Amino acid sequence: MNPLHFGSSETVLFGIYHPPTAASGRNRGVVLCNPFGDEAIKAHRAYLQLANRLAAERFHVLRFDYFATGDSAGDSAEGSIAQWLDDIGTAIDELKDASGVAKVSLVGLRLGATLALQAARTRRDLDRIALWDPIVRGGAYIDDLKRINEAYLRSELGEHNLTPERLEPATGAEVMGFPLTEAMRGALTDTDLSTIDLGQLSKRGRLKRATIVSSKQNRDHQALAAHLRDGGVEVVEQQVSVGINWNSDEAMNTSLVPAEAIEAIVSSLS
Amino acid sequence: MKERAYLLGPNESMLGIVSEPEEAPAPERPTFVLLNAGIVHRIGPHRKNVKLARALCEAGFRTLRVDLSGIGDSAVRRDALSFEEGALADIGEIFDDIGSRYGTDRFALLGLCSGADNSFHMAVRDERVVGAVILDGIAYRTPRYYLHYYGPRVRSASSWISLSKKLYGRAERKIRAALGTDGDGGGAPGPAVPDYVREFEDQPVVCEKLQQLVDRGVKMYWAYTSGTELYYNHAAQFYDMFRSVDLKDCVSYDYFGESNHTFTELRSQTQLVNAVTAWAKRTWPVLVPRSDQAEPVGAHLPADKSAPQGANASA
Repeated sequence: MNPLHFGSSETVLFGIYHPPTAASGRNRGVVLCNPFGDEAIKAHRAYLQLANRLAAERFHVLRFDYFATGDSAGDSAEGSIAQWLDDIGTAIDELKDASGVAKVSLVGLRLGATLALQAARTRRDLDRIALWDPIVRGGAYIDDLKRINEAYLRSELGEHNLTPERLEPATGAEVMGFPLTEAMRGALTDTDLSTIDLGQLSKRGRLKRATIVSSKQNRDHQALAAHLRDGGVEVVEQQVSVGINWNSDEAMNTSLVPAEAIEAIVSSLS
Repeated sequence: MKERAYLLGPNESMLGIVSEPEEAPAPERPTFVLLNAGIVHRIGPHRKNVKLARALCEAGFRTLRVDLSGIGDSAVRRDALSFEEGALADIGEIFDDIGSRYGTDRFALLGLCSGADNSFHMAVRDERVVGAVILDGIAYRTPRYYLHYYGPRVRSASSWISLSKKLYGRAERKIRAALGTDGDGGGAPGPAVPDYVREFEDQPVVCEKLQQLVDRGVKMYWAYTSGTELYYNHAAQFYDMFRSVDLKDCVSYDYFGESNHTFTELRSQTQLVNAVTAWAKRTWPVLVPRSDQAEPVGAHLPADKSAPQGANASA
């Protein structure tokens, strides 16, 4: 496990490179794309396990924090969807430089999957992509986050303390301890993976396979699978039996990881 | 500010990130070591540790945010120490490592919840600790705690209705029990039992340890949130809890009564960061060269204007 800083001096990113545990590594890498905000903190342990499993399968793996998140540079309010898409590209290039691999796969959980698919549209050096409970419609995701945030604050602060100002601060919207800027909301509202232009992905053979790992039946995931297939992408839909509410305190406090989903992802990339 | 990641400890098994000020910190200023809260990795709940580390660094302090063994990106220890003992051993090894890399033997610990408990116990154990920020740490209910707990309820009509219902229910259960039909013991309404348990040492033992720290000159900032309302619920409770300790000028305490335990709201995070940074600057002021002095050496810097809503007292 090698921690490293990379990227430009204005947007320094923090990442951890996991080399293959066996001497004869594959000539393939995997970049893990974080979900948003508190979900990324709660998914940290699962991502570590996933990276270790992939390294044991002889992949070169890079976990990293987008700009203005985690240990990367930047204040939390400086993050943007456009920046994070650039960051995924920077991470792919860094992994290729660090390991010498020619082909890279992307894995993303929740909004990380959304960003991974969007970033993949502009790349020609990708192998496969695994979308773990992807957020397909950004507008619905914002509504979910607001609802989750309100319920959490109500439980934490008590009903009588939950003033309108605390739910919608004049300083700007926030969810579960992270800012949700106007620009971010705008970009998310405009996001619908089931209708996006697939760009490079629609060129036959450009991407070997997309796997959608779903922890529950989800019409959005089915619509996404259909859209990708229409674009000429081979899609595997994988249902797993255990889901995690990545915004819950249980996700934070449990030492368990969703092994079934992790194994599904590892096998989809192997 | 420059940040650098290290694999720390004798086995290079603990991941930490040092934030280094542009100008080398004055030697009397401690390096802040920010500990895990529970099993949240080193960035802290809502990225709080990153914000605190960078704000303290901007104020001229070297900081380290680190994962203790078995948490975040750090490997588990290879020995058989308990979780609590292992954490203290980890911190000692971190002091050794950072101390040799940066040539310092002065540290300040900062922790929330389990991180607060580790900070306190390590401060008692290791004289390299010259400061500690203890957030939602050890606490004991006091007589005034119960006044604060019951006072609003006595004045609240809904509480009287609730109490009436409970008393009515208890009477009904007694009647049913007498009739042999039903009934349990019920119980007087009071502070609930938390659904998680933090075990604190007996109060006299902690008072004695706190006195040791004060006598050693360890500077401390203790703060509590409404998240600990089951055992701490007003600003002055700290003074009552440790009334037997001569706190001298070593201890400041605050109460963030509008914040939850993990400082979820951004305004709470800002209040915490400002309060901790202001305390650190007051506690270890930049010494002004004699020729430039406008006031005596060691004078306190002005406190940050954005103070928390509770008391900001020095005892």
